[in-house]
Amino acid sequence: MKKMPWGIITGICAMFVFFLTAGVVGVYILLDGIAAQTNTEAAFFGEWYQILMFVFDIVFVLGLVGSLTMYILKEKTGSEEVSV
Amino acid sequence: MKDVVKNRLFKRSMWTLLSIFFALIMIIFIIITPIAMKSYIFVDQFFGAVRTVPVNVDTDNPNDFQYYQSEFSKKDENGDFVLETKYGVNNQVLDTEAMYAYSDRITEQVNTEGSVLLWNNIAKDGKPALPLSKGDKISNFGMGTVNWVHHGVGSGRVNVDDTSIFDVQKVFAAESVGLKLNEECLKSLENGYRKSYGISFRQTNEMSWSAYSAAAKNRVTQFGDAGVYIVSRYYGEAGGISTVAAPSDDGDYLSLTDAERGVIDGLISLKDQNKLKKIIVVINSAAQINLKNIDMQKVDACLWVGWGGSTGMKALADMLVGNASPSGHLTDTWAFDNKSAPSNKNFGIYKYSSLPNGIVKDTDDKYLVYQEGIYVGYRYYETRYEDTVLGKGNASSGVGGLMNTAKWSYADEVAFPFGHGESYTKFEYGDFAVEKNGSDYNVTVTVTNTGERAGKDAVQVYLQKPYTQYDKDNGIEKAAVGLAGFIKTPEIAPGKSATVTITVPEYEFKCYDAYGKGTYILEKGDYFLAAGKDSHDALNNILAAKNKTVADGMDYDGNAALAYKVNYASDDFDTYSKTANGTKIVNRFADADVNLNKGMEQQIKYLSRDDWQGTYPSGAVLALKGDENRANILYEVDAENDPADEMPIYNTVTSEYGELKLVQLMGLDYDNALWKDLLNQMTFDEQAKLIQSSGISAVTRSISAPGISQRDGSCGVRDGGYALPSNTIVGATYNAELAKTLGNVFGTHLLNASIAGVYGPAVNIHRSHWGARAYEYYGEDGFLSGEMCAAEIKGLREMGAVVFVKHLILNEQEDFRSGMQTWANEQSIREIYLKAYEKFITDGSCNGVMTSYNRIGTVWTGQHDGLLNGVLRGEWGFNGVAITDANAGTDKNFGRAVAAGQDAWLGGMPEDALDRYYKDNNGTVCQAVRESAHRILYTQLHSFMMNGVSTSTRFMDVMPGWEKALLAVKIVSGVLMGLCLAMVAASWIIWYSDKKNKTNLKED
Repeated sequence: MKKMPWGIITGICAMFVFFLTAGVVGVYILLDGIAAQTNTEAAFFGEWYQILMFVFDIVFVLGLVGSLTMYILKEKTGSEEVSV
Repeated sequence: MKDVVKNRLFKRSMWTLLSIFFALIMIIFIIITPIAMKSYIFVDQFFGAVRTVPVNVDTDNPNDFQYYQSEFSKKDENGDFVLETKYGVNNQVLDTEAMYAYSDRITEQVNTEGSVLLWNNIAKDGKPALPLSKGDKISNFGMGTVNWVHHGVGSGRVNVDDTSIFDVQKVFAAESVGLKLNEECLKSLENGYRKSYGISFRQTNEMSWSAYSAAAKNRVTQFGDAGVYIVSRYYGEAGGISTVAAPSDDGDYLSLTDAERGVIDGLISLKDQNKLKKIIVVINSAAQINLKNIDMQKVDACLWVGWGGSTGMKALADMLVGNASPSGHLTDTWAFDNKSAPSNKNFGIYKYSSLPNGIVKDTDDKYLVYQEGIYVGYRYYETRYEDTVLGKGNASSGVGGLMNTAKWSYADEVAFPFGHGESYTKFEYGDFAVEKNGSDYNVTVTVTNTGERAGKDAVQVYLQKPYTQYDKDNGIEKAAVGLAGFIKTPEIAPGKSATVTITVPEYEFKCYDAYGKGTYILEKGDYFLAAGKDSHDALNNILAAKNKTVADGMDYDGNAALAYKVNYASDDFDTYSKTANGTKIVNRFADADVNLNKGMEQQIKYLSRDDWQGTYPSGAVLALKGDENRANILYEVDAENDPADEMPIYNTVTSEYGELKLVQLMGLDYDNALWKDLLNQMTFDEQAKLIQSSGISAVTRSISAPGISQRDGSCGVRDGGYALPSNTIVGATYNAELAKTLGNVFGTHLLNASIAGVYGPAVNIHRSHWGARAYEYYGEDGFLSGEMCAAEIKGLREMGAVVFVKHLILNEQEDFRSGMQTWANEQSIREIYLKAYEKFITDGSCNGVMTSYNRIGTVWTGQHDGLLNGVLRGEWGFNGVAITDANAGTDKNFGRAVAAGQDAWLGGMPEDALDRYYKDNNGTVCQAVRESAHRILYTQLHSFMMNGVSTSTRFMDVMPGWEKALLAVKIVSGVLMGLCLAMVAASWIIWYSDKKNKTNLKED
């Protein structure tokens, strides 16, 4: 585990979280705009791809939290090892 | 330390990830940009962006060119208008505080004059149950109390900024109202609302009697002057009511739910125990509620208030205590069970039993047949009633009866007739006289207030046409009564009278003969003009004039003195077969009649008073047949090129005045020769652009034409924050003058928002109580709808608005409206559904219509030549703009629609959609494009979009904010990506040099 590149994983997860969150919000705004024009109603989870994006978003948030924790722990352990 | 900083700063992975991050952002925005640009109209509307701004290149002051002004316009110390440029208009800034104060006054008047007191029994104290007294202690019930519905769903909805105006505590207990409310009841309702009880879209989750707290019920004894129960419903566009499974005994969303009945029973029980003095039911629903489950004896009074917009609740409070007197009259028949209307037999989802190849199942396989013909609403109930009295047409057979299936009886089926409305006072009619003046009949009535309070009344005049053998032979139907005129009296003090005169033109006596002469005819026979309190009262007066009494089966004896017989000795098949401009009136909707459509090869029976039993609808079963019908549905039919239609002149200055600007044509007629010069000056692309891009973008720079900013709004400016009373209430005022004033208020709100074009009002017919957009429409009668809408339009037009009246036509059902194939006979199309449009189009007051999503037969309304070129342009001389509904109709062969008279596409069309007609020298389509451009420009010229525009005004292109933002994101992300890549490169170089140094050290 110590050899895992937690920093890179954290960065990748952060990127996915950013784009997926923007995607979920963006798609809702888009659908809401279309709904306003066509007089229907939009929802955050009205379409299958909205649900899929949200699920992935949650998965990557968990990944981000986990990898960030590991990264911090690794950094901490590394510096302790250095100080010893 | 230096190494630590170096290691952290030049971390390869970090800069690589950041490069990827910014690259992805850049790529996403590079992809988004062309997509957004393709739909720029929607995006512009979404952000309220404009692409051009007016600039005066000379010394002209925009202040001198404010063609449409408001009394609420702000002025500076020099007396000049304060102006601002918004949506491309250099417009006046209004004093909104004063404007809304005035709006409140007018809309509350509309609400009180439009609210209908259905019944008002004498209560235990010997006085009418309503009004209550100031200081009365009341207990409120019904979720509508805390979840008040002010408008329906969809494009007609206007969100209200200040929701405290629906706070019952604040409104009912205001000083001017002075009611004292049972706090425990309100607490109980608020708790219930928090626990998910409430009124939501097509759902009514009412609190049951047991869900009210014991404290609330106990406190009724102290707050027992009245129990006020608010019955609310919430529905609207794109969602049918007929398909909602409701928690009521018959599954009808417009029947009382079990919970509602339970609470009313609970209140009756308290009243029986003398804990409650009166029960008042308030109906907060646009459409009629089935009254079969309300005990009209034990519920003391019932007030229909519809959906009143911003001032609806305040108007209710004022009516409850008598600050204002309700004087509205129904615009629909209220049956005990409204499903008894024959139109409901063909309302909902009907699929063809078989389809031709290529027609997509579940998309284009639905139809509706208006099998009831002209017998919509009261035209059915009253005609059938007359035939039961006259003993004709098997009228008394049980068919069609819901409350009594053995024998049809008016009294069993109808709770309140069309036009009914009680008051806090009583009126009597007298001195009825009819005088012929040219081709008009002037009907005079004296109205006397015999009650104890001042009030207004709506005098209604109905016309009965003779049902002749010629009618029976030629499939013409005649209703027993049809509204032919009305007027609202001024306020009449107790004991005083007012004499009113209503003009009924002979034009109303004609009828449409689709299967015989194929035009309007005026038949010989006896016609009756009658005044009445409502449609039923007028019919009883006519029957009295025919010497009929209760002995003949009438429910009460009429007053023959209020009816007048006119006899026409001979048929006239000529006078009304052409319009005032000489256009011949011929059948234009034969393709919509199953019996006449060439491809369908089927016959259906329309409801006929000749045999109610044998023709009562049971839901038409159709198979879709015919190559032409198939091609229409698939939009495979394109416009033909008539060789006689030459290509128009483009891009050529032909005027003696040189290059023209639109403003130079101000004040000129539509047919003035200068229009030809202006159109000659334009390119095909400019003319096509006017058609393609509706919304805020269609500016024509070369002639300084400002375009038309547009917004939804049947009942107020959408997103405007102020909701006007819904149109059903406006209709129920029977006060055209007030409707005009309301139109003026609406127009002022549009001017304030700088939105010139409004998609509304709407005049579809309440064909069924399930028509979900009832609140946007006036009622079940085309005459009333037309007159009231015409008045409202006049008020709107005075403020420079472009009024797109919708939805032309036969769009009475929301479920599957897109592509719905609507079948109807020509008599009903003309006499019921087109009737509403006729008034305001023929008198020139209307400058826009919106075609509907559905089809007429198999032809989409926007492509129906008979409707647009035939009736609208040809017979009625309409020079306004026909816009589509949002993204409605065809996605190809647009030329057919343009050639048919469709002018503008709401939502736009592909930019190159019309190019091929130009390249192919299709003179027919190019002439049609030019004529549409003519109509659009003429409409722009007569709107407040021209405010501030002089001959020196030029429209300059500007980049909308959202486009700037897209560009900025692309640039910034590109730059950041570049920097990150540079850092990646630097990190690799440092890493490589470090590695090399380490290797060298090892070697050393």
